[in-house]
Amino acid sequence: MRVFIGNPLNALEFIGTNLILSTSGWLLNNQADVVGILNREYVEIYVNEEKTYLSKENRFLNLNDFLVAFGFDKDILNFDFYFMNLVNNTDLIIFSTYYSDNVLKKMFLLIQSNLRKVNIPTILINSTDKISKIYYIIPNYQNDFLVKDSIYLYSEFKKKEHKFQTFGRYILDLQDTLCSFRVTVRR
Amino acid sequence: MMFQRFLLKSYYWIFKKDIFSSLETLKGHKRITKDILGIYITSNLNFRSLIKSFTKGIGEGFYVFFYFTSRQIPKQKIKLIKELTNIYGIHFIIFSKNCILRMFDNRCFYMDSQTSLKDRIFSISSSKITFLFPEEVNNPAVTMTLKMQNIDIIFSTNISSYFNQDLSNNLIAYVITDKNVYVPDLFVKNMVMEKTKDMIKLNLKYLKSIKNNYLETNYKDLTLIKAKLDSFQI
Repeated sequence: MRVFIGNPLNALEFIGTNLILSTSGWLLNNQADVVGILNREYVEIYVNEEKTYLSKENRFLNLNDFLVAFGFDKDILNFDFYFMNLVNNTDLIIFSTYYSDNVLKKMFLLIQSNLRKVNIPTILINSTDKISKIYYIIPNYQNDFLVKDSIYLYSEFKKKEHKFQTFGRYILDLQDTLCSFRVTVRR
Repeated sequence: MMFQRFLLKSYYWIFKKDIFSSLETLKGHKRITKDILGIYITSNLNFRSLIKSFTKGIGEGFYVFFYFTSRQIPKQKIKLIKELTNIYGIHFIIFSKNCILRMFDNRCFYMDSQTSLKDRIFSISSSKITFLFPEEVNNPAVTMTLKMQNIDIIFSTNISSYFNQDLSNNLIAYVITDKNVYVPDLFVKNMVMEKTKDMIKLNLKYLKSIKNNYLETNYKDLTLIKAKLDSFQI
């Protein structure tokens, strides 16, 4: 699965891309199997000139059996989102966020913490003042990045080996709690 | 029989003076505001020094007390401490060998790793508090359960500072161990937490406002999790 993220003009250098995500608000149709434009609350996806939207309600993109999940601003702090990806065996998480540099530094610490629990490769595209910067995050205790502050990213991703996680007997506790989520009263 | 059921009676004559003088000093004590939760760390389970630290703690507005030991505490002693705790009307949390005890309101709650997560929660002025054993801190399902339960403070028996810090970040909650307090990386540590050798003060108002502003429950995600979990039910 070959993914390009960045300005669509840079994407012309690469051949055989499966997914192109544009950070600049426009793109060339049919440049890849699936093309998309990143926005604050949603992603515009084009498959053979057919347009669909991916948003918080509908996050997943399944391309050649490779599962990509999209997250937005508030999903970063939300452990629900990461856990949902863990049980759904997501292969790649892509965040599209609009944070200032100061906040972003703290957010990376939180993302790392969350990713260590679920272990899924993650790309974050942060846009401030019309400049998009791309970060490829590896979950480890050194808080490392594979790519940092980049304007575009081209990479080949392999499908993750699916490990069946049982979580021990705590799964019963979780099921118990999930039964009642519709009736919980917010403080 | 009476002698066995009510232990404090047999010690009453020895400690009468201490208890009464302590209660006398506590008349009209102040209470710290609802936004701050104070936890007082006692260093000794000796009866006389317990009375002393209760008096000192309550006088400064604390009503959660904490004690850590790696040894087992004899049953009789637990009962005696429970009776004393009840006089003062405070929460007393004891980490003992392989188990956690919480005393409040004439009852002693015993928790070990077999106790379900649902039965461990208690709340003080609308903040939810729970307890975790070492092997549970890094389990994603446990973290998810606590997230659903909207926990604010966790007492952890795990010694790994990495795991505890991660848990604190995952849930945006305070994690307390016998040696340290872990605050989410989103906060400035000195602003929300104050720790000295025998007391911890945590700012709950700030925690709640961050939680209300930044965390949202996406029911679509929860439905997906629920569906997935139901599908691999045994």
